[in-house]
Amino acid sequence: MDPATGLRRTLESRVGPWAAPLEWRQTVVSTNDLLKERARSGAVEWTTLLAETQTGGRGREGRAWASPLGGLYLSVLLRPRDESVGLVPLAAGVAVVEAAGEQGVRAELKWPNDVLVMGRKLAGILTEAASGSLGVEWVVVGIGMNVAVDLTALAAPAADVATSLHLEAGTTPQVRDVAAAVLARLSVWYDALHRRPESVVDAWRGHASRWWGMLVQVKTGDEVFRGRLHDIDESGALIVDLEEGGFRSVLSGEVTRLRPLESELGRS
Amino acid sequence: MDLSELKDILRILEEQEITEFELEHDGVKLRVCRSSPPVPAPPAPPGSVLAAPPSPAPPAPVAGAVGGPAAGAAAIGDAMSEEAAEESEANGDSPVPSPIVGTFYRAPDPNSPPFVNVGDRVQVGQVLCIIEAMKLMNEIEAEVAGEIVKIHAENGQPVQYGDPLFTVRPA
Repeated sequence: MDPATGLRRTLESRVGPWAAPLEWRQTVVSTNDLLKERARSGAVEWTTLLAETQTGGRGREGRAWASPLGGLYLSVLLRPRDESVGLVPLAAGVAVVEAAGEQGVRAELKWPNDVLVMGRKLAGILTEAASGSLGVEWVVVGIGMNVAVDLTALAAPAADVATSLHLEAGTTPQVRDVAAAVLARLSVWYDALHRRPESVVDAWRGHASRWWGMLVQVKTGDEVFRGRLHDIDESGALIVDLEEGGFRSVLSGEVTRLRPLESELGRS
Repeated sequence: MDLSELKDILRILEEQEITEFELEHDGVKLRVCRSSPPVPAPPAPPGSVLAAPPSPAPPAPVAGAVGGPAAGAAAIGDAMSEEAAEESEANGDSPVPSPIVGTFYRAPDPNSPPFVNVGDRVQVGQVLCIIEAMKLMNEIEAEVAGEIVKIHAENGQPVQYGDPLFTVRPA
């Protein structure tokens, strides 16, 4: 049985008929790049593309995402109504955390949708979209997850900061099962996004609790500032409690944990 | 559908101030987009620095700002800043307003050349820039073919809904 048929059967055993195309390639440059091309030429919603390996997997700001065998490299096409677009990356994060949970791994979300286990990166999500005069035309959610990747073969620094489902669970999960779980859970949260978007925000919060109150550095655009993580708002923006007082909401950027100050250690 | 019926439809759309209309009838497909009369600039979106703890959560800048598909071109046009609107009136240049709140990027990543530069000719659908919010990289496409005559936004800087990003001189 070819892997796409296997995935379809697993998926349909969970959610019922799944009409959209599922394609599983051996090697692609990037599942996101290929699916973006399909999106531009009119591919239907939920068209999904997977690859055994990627030669040019990438993350935010064009950073490389190592994509050896044993990983999940999945891109899925959505065509959401405009008002729900901003929360798609958060919904995807929740779906990935839940898929990890099914394998017995308790993962957490770091804003907006890094998936970590005890601070080590399990999965990354890069969401891309195109907008014209009539609003958002398509959204491609790209998910890279270390399912059973041999982490020792990764180049530094990835090798030092990554983890895998295999390592955390002590089992060897099948990429197919994880892919089916991701798609099934994403379909649930995508539906929720249109009915009750606040439920997506709440679910996200529930998987990010470890971070609240933590002292962090935030890099947004060319600017860097510090503060404590306070919450996210209903649009998914991060709210930071600033060191100098006041709050600030952040729509894009990177959050880095700062080591506790000595004064704080003394206090606790 | 004959000409008088079409005229009637257009008259009703104008009277009712309907900005967008689609009709399919007897194999005829009609789509009308009217530009709205100039309106005052929209109230400033929520600032990035909040004075008080945001509880309850502040209004959703992205979700609220994008506007439904039905709002379409007219809604985006309405949100153009006065500066952009004046410019387009003056010489037929077409402003490209930001459809969302986020961070403006001129290139796909820091090591790549910009999507477009001043003086470039662009085609409809060509990617002009990326606006990022919640790690969603939104490629903004050209709606008219022409020449980029001005780039208003700075790379890596936040843009608000309706901020002018580019000015395109239609070819």
